Amino acid sequence: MNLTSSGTNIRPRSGLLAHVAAGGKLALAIIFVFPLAWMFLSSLRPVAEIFQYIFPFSLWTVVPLHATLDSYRHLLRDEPFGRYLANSLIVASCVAAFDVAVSSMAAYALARIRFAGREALFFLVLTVMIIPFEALLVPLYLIVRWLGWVDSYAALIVPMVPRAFSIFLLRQFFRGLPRELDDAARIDGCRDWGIYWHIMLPLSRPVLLSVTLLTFQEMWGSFTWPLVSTNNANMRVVQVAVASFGQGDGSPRRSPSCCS
Amino acid sequence: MRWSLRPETAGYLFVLPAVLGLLAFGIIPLIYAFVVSLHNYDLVNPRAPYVGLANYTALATDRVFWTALRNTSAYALMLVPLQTAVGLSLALMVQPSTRWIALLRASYFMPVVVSYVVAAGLWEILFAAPNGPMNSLLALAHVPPQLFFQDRHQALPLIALMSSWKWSGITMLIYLSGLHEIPAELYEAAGVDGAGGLRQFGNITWPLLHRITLFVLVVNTIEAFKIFTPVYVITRGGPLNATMVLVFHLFREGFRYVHLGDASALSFVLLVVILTLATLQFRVLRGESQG
Repeated sequence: MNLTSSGTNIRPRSGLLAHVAAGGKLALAIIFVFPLAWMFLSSLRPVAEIFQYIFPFSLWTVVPLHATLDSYRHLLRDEPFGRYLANSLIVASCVAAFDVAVSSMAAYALARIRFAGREALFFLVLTVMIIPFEALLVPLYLIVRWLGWVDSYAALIVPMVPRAFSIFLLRQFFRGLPRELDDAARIDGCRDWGIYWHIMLPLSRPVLLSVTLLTFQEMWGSFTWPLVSTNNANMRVVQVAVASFGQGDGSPRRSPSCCS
Repeated sequence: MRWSLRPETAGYLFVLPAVLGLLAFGIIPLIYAFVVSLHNYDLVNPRAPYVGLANYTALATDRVFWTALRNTSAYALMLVPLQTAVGLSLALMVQPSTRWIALLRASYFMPVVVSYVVAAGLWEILFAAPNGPMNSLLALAHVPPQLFFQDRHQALPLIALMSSWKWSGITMLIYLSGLHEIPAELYEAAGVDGAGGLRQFGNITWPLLHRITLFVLVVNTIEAFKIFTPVYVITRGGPLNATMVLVFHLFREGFRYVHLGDASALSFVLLVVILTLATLQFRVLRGESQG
């Protein structure tokens, strides 16, 4: 039995209609991709050329006349962009690693161990998941300032761990694993830590990986919290650096395609 | 005797680090925000006087706050239908999975992968006035140069357009997972009965996607009310407060003017709006699964 529908709702159409539909799909793809392609191509231009060929619209508005890596060289050599990249890399990796460790442990207990207050704890996870982070900006800043963490990696990393969503996701996955495995392991002398470490984690590798990647990606792109909790240029992350380009000094905005 | 833990204790040890984190950086800040909102708090004066609900009443007479609330709602009203409709259309278009279709899927999803800051910066350049690439393109069609983000009627709709360009891929993905769960037999039966593509959509696809649509609508609305990054990057609330939104107002009050009490009162308004939406979502989803 085939349960996945594979477009059977689209009946074979006349040749003309099919072409129109294909053209529409392609046009949409261009709308979604073209700005990004333009950004990348512009990043290959020498500075003088960036705004030179915009009017009138022609092939050279899109394609650089002289391709060069000057912009990238400038970013890395004349501006501490390497430092910003490293900061983002450190923060995103640390949050992702700590989060997956802390969240998977909590998720295991919530899914498998019976203890008083378990339901209340799960409710806590759901509550934190719903609270919009933006509403916590001011108090979090005050707490971090009180801890003396402003302008430090601790400020960028510690308050982000754990992510309630990671706990929720992993708990759902752990609950789906067969309980017989736990029982078998217990008979073989495993305790909770052994079951978590030798059974749950190896069986959940794909989920653990996607949770880690998801956290990394979100942290790499995170902007508001780093903007608020750091002032020192040494602690600046990529997104804050990109947001400050072309502001005030009238210099042309570099195409930051390397920071996606 | 071997040293061993009662299962209860093991449970507590497993959740301890997570609970500490959730309390210290989730629940305690939330309570603290409420405390701060009752005080006239700034960073200079260490002894913030208690002012009761004065920060809230001040908010009620703050014209910028009402502008921000109106703009945020308007933004949600523009973004949510647009992103949902585009996401659904994309999902329907890329449904039969072939190699070419996979390429299309990847294209539609591409802006999701780029960071919000970069996407916003990119649109700022593309729609630069009066000499940006978009105006150059419009000139081909003999359209006079537009002010875009510097025009107080165009700025907010353009930010909504930008956000739906950035996020429609996610909505597409959610709808695709919904489409996968519709049994193919339904379409086969409808085809045998002579129902065309449009009628199949109206009688099978759309009703069966009902739950997913509700989910998408609520999630997108919540996200819309949290809009901040593109406003910060492109317009800083301008021109003439035309793109002043709740979170940007909160950010400016709290971190530029250091009116922490006012900012915390604003945080609570934001919280109430979003909790209301989340409760609505929960109710709707639960009601659906029962009905």
